[in-house]
Amino acid sequence: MKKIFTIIIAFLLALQLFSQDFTGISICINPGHGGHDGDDRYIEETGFWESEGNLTKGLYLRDILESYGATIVMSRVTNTTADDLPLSQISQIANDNNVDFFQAIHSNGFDGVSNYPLMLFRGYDNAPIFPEAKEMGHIMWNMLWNNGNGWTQGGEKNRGDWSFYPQWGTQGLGVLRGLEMPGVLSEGSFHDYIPESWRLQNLDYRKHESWVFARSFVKYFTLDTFNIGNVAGIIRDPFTAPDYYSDPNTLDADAPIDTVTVTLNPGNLVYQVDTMHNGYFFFDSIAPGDYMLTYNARNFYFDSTMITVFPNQTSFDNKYLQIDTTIAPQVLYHSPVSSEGDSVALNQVFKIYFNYTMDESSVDSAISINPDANLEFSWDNESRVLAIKPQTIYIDGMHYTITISTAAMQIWNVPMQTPYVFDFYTKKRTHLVLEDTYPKEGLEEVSPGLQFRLYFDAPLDESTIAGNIVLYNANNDIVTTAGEIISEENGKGYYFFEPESELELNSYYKLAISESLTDAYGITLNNNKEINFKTIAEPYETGTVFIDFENISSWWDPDGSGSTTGTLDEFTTFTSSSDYVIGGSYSAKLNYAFENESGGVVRTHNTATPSVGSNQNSKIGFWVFGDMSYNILEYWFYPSSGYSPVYVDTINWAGWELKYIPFSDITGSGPARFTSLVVIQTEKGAKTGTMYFDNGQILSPVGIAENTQPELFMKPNYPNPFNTFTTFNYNLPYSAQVNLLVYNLLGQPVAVLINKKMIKGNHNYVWNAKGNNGENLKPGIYIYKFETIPLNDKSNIKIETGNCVLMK
Amino acid sequence: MKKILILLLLLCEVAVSQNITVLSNKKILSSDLEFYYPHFSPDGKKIAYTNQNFIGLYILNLKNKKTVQITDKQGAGYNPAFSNDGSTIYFRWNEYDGLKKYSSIYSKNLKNNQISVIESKRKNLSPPRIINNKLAYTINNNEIKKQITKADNSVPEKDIWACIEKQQIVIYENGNKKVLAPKGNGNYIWPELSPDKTKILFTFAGHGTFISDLSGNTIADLGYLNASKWLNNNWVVGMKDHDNGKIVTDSDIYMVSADGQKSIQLTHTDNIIEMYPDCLTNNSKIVYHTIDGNIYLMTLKID
Repeated sequence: MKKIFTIIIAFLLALQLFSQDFTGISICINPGHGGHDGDDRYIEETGFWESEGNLTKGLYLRDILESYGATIVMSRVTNTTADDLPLSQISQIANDNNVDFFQAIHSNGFDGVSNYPLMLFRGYDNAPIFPEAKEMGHIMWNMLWNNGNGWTQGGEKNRGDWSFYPQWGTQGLGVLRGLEMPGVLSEGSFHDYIPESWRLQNLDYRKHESWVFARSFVKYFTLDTFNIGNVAGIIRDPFTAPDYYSDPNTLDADAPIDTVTVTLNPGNLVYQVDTMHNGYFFFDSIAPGDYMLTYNARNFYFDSTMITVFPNQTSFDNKYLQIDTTIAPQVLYHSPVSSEGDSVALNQVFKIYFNYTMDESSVDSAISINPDANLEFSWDNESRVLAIKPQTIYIDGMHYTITISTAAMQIWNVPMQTPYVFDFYTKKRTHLVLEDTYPKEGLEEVSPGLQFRLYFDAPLDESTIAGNIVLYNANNDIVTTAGEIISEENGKGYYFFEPESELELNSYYKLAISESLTDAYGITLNNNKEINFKTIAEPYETGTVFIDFENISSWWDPDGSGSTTGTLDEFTTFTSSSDYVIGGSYSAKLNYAFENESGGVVRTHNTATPSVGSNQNSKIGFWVFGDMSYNILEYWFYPSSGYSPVYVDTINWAGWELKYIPFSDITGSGPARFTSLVVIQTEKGAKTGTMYFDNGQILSPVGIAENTQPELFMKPNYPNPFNTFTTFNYNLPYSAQVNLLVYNLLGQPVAVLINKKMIKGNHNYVWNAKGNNGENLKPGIYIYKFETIPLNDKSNIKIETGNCVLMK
Repeated sequence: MKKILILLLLLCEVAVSQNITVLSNKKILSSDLEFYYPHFSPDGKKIAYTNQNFIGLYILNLKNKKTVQITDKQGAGYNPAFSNDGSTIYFRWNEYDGLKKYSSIYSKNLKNNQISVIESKRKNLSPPRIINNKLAYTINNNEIKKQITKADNSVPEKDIWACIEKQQIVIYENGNKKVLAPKGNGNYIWPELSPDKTKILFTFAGHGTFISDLSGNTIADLGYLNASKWLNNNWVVGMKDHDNGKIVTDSDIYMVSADGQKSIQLTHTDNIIEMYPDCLTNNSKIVYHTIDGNIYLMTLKID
């Protein structure tokens, strides 16, 4: 065996010696980005970093071309922070080394559903600065297209950067603008299209792209072609769809198969397909001739293909393996899992995951439930996931058992070998529960453009809403409302609406909810509820608009940013919208969905990076339509160096509010530019949400401000003594974590009034004399403790205390 | 005009405290054609400049404000060289034969417009330099020198110059070649010998800009500074440009002392991106271009 291998290697080396020669030709290869830094791109679902993919391709291309005598200049050979070179340095590396050609290697990101090669050269489409670069773009695009897999769109995309990015005028791509010789930027494929992202995780898939580039250079320089070829392909299961998005009109509609053993004969070369859900195999530098490929995979029938290898080409065998139909199916798991202490909603949907394509009718018939209930069944397209839901609702406070018997069969009529049994417990409900509201009882400084939000523990009976949820002004007149949204999700009920016109400033309102309000199961609230609130005293102070969101073409889709992580790309979008608008015709709508319970980040980046000036006394703000998600909103800036995330607020409001941050919260000194709107997922934050943004603005102080930042103070609560309400007024000279707690005379905490991060400025909190559990506190003397912890100096903790007297 | 006045006020405010005054900062070329990469003639009377990506070469006479186009060839604007008396300009241009790149060096006498071919259609031909009244360049990394003008009465320069070969710094001195990699393996760019020829200024890509002696011993770390040039033996001028991975987002011109201890921001604008300065050595004048293709001339007073 060793002898055969040695002979093959010698043969390949001999082939190379008599193949074309790159001697005298020098090429600068720039693997784009570097070091997992700010402008790198990361795909959470697959673990792919663009900086790593670009570098691997670049190093393989270097090795191939150098082995044929080319002189290669690499802009980087490692992947560290220092490798993320300024664009001016990259082009100068090519210039100072006097190369014949420059190539920047990238992969692309856009909307998660697109995948095609894109070549960019300097100039306009039909007026390139270097005609040679356009010619190379044409060669390379066609090579990529003909050697790709799973393209979603056709049509040659070989574009001049001035035409492709018209918003940049003739500035164009920074990496091409300083070149003294022809150069191109290749976007080989789309790394945010998940099937492609999994392929890019295979190093040999990247190497194959390097071979495609190498053949492009052979054609460009009109050299003799390579005397060797490659063999590659993707192995798929024709009966299974991927569990991630794939274009149904491409080969990616069928799931790739992992861990297949592929053998190429003669030569007995073996390739082990990886576990990265790409099904990809690759045999490098194969002499022309006829070969046999054989495929071995667990649960699939053995298969083989005869294939001919041609010089200077890749011979593809995109193989479909037939599943072994004699295997017994089994349930992999069900979701959600319920226990006695973790009961489920009365309309809970359970999903059952099988390892095989099932015979649906046999499974439906094999399911029983105890105690008896009428169930509905629905299947996904591949008949592998079954959803079970009650036709009406389950009985509350009940223990149920669902059994799938061995009568359940896969599509080739092989039954399960053992039954699958699971238990669940339903919630005990005596009344409809109002779980959360916006605004909250006693809230002041409410925006006149708010959206009311009521969150219930069960879907509402819509016919009971009218007359049972009513908004009153201070004169007890009914205020007309509009924009009603009634919805349900995961067994919960939601009711959102808005005032028909903006509320009056500095005015008290009351939202009354009658105990007659009824849920979909006929259960009512246990008593009448009132939510009293007050609107802001003065209108929002508006500044000079620097982003109007009428055109958001300069903004990236969130998954285009390397900072976005832990999101479901297809549900995370940044689009133009006319749903809710402050000025002009459009606002920007941010939809987001986090994949896990915490740790997610959504960053939507504005490539225009407009200046926000350098006035330390100014404020920068956006109109933000909050979604009450309890996640955190940040604005990100580019100061003179690095970047500066600035905390704005916990998103605990619904509807429009104008959210400013002081310029002084931006790190560094000198001018700064705005870059991104960012939502940070918190542990108690919602996993999905929708926000709107409009009219970003800069508010500059009028005249010369004198001592615009008064000291930290907490005024004694007023009135004091008090009966039902008392107000705490305090000023923060900096953004801080604020804790306001009330204790009884025994030193026991009875109410946590504030526990949140707050921006600097003057604030009021109105306390309704209720304790932590909503109970009315007894009359008496209470002690409040006001604590501030500056966000940028956590050691500078300040505490103030005082007494307040609650009367009968 | 108002913008320029504000700019000057800002500049003066910063600069005076460093005993450096910006006497003037004027836009000297503004055109829809967009002009870039200006270079002084040694006598400071002319400025050579080019179009996008160094295509074509022009000369502006600062005295009579007249512009003349020397050529429209590819690459002609990349590091052209004036003769010491400013009467002749030498430049390299590129052509493609079967898409393979070949380069030639030409000269043009600016008094009689006579054009001469120095090298024709060579592979791996470097841009020309003028060293001690000789034309110096390399072919396939081998030094070529040609006497081009009659030696004048000025003190002869040291016969030494620097360039980049195979990603490293190369110093040619009296026909000998010395290779330097002062900071280890990596990419060295923008090498420039000091006016007194005792130090070399260079950028080590991704790590910053440095000054070393001619043996490669680091003398000063200038930090982040690109496309830097010597203003005199004590100061260098460069740009601090930033990008977002796709486009250049901002850039300003800075002056940094040769010991790396002082840094003075010479331009301080939010809406103008200033790049690629060139210095009239020992004469306190700087030219640079903006990203939208305007050329500025700045005059300093250094106390």
